[in-house]
Amino acid sequence: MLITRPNHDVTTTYLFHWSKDIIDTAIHHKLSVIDVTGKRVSKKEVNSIIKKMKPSFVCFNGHGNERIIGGYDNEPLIQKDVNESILSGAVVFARACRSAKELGPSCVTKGTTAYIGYTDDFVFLTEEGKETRSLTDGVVKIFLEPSNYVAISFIKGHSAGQANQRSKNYFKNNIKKLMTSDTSKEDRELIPYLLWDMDHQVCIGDDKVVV
Amino acid sequence: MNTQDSRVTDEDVRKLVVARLHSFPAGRKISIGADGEFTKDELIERVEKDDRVGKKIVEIQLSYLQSLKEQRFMEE
Repeated sequence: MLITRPNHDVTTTYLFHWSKDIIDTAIHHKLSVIDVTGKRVSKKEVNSIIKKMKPSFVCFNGHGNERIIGGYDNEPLIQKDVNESILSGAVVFARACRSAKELGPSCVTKGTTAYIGYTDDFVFLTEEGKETRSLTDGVVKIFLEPSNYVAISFIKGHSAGQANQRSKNYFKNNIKKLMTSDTSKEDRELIPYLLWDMDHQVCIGDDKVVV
Repeated sequence: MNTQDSRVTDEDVRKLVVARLHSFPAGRKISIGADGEFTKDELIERVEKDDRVGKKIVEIQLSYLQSLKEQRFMEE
């Protein structure tokens, strides 16, 4: 599998650290991992790796929009109507805002077997002051663990449809835990944002495909 | 005859969302993609300004209120 982890701002740095869990799970399951981090997450480097290595599973972390998945400093890595065909034959999980709206369907039209991503902004809450110790942030954990579960489910052998559903179930369980009476009023304020991410996570393409 | 206009305006909705945001926990921030990270006070300011971030927060909050109306998590 190929995973991209740029870390040029606070949001991408959170994703950088929390994606380590995906890598550890992949290594534990004897999957070969190409981990492209920091400034190396450029269009030239990532496109070259995809063309040469043809990874069966590509996990993108970064900013995005309807037509783009970004890399370091938001350089477009994959762009609708430009180079999405390089993902032909791969399964993609894109943790990048809104990319499943236009780019995802276009990738699938041009050969990507399945694309899981978000049709709107991917949002999460964090604890102030935890930016440099993001793995100790218990608030962000409630958002990023369910999202990580897409990739982790793929690694564990589940199909695209199952990976998407298992991740959504994880979101749902976290929401239900926050709805109980012993949850503080402050923590209940996380629910609208969790619900938003869950509702905008979609699987496009062949939902039976496995990595 | 009641002549009062009962339509809910965008301004009314923004006021409702701002009222809800007063419960947003202090000491926490929200990350909204490439738009950055925002504290409670910054969110309230953005909703009042009605810019892209403000509109997104309104959309998220209305979507949540709709889920409550539909009792989405009550049946399970």
